Amino acid sequence: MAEQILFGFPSKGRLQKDARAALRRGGLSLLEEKGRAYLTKIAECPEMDVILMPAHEIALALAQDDIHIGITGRDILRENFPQRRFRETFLPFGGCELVVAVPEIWMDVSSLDELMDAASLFRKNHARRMRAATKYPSLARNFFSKRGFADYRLVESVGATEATLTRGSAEMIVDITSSGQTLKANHLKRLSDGTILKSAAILAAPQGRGWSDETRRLARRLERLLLQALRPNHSDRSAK
Amino acid sequence: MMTPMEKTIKRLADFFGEKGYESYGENADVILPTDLFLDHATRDVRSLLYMLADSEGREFYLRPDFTVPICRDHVRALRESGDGAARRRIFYAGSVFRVIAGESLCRRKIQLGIENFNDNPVQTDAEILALTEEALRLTDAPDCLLEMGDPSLFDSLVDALEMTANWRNRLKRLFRQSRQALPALLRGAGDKPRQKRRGDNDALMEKMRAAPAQDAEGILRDHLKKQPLRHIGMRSLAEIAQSLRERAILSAPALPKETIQILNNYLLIRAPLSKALSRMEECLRPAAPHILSRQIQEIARRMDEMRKRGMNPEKAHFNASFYSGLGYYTGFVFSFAPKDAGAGTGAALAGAALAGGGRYDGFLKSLGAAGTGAAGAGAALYLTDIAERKQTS
Repeated sequence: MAEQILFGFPSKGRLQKDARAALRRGGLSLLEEKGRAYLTKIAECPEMDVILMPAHEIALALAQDDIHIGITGRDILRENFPQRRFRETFLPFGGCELVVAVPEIWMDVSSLDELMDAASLFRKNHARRMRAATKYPSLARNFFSKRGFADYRLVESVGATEATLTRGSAEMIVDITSSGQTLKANHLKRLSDGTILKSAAILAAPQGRGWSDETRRLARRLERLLLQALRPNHSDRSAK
Repeated sequence: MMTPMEKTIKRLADFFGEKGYESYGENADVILPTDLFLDHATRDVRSLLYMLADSEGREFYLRPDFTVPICRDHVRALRESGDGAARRRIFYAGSVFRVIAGESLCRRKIQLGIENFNDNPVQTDAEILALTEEALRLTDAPDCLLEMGDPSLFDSLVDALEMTANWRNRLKRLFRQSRQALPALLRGAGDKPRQKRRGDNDALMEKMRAAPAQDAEGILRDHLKKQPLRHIGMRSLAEIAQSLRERAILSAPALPKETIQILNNYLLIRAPLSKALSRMEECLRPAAPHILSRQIQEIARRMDEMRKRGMNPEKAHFNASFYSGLGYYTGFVFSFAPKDAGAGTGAALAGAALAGGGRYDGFLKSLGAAGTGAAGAGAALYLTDIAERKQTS
């Protein structure tokens, strides 16, 4: 017998709003959960439980094979599980980029090359390294190290990363941006060649090695059904 | 039973032992502070270093070779116990760690090599060359071509030519930085004006270019009055202005055509040693006769010393644009690469070399050594690569 299929669905923020709207447009109806319940159903897929959870937890649950399908951000999966391979399909919302951004007032810095020059001068003048605040330490470290940039120190940010500069706790940031308005509002600009990752919401499914054939087949069928609803104008192509 | 690798190491340890090299044992540090590499490792090389972070976010590199930790220990020993205590000839064998290009995986490789801290450069260089060649034969590596270069020659040439200090620094830095950067810079150096950066303000850059250094901050402040930008972060306006001014000067068409021609001619020299010497003299005589004669004589003397040790310098090639591995090599550098692996085309850097080394006096100096203490050269045999090469052939 197949187990109950579990679908991790975003529980808050912009991602939740967009995902709900996309479901609705695709003709699927997410049943209204009562009160603060975190478990619900999609009326058209009674064999599947929908678990409402934060995008980070969805990524973790996917990595542990705890859920069969999930909607999360590509940035979150790549930052936390760079080596894991999932079946991933881009969804037409949640688009953003992970970028390196510096203060607008740094008129001498517009590329990574110039950032490296500025960083080595900074270290000489201040006797310490420039700090880069980020919630994506492993993607940032990887990106910088591939380009031979080592003159910095990462500081992990918990709240609003853009605000770390005005607080004086970092000199630059590595953060996600979609329209660039938040960067602008915080007097930041992105580097011309500082795009680390292009991200969007994705529908992801683990390989599920421990699952029975029947479970895997059922999960695959529901995944296809969700995809048809969530990206109506696409053929069944997987994201890279 | 010994593995083939252990046998090779044993054979080479005996060989270098006979030649007076003392084993370094397990003394070289595996985990090194990133600071050690910031000013020395070229960008190409830094991307090969494997970085670790501890629980407080401090970052470290796994050793990419033995030269860095051994040099650090050597300078420390000189400082703490004086000249007599330091060992002059060191032999080592063990693991080094490199990131494989295109992957973020770290690979462990076996390297075996020597460091020589004697203060007679020409003889020491030749000794290291001869020993490396002989040791390579003991490993049954395929036939290799010896290729040499000398970044300090390029530096002297740049010093001798007419140009601003900014250009000098940039050219020297790029020579060591990456293989593409310098030719690209030279291609654009004579154009006028150089291509505009996105968002550059022409009037501001023009003012910066013309102004003395102490006026840069004032010029920037005036500009910001008209086009305000919020000043956030710890980098001061003075710092930003200084760097902006340097950029303005650099972006001016500052290098005369003849200078670029000389640099390009020099960088293209790649020939057997004596032929390279005459081409070098031809190329450099009009530009920098006095400064260069000393260094060219040194190459000729090194060739004599090589002959004394039974080597044939005519079989070796000089490649003027050869910079080697880690940027800490400040003088003569060399590599042995298999003849069929495109040796003579800078194969050393493409990872085809099976052995290589050079002189790193400047690195010792930057670690705090002075006078005769700042003299050292070394070589390493890449045993893992040699073994893999034997397997595939």
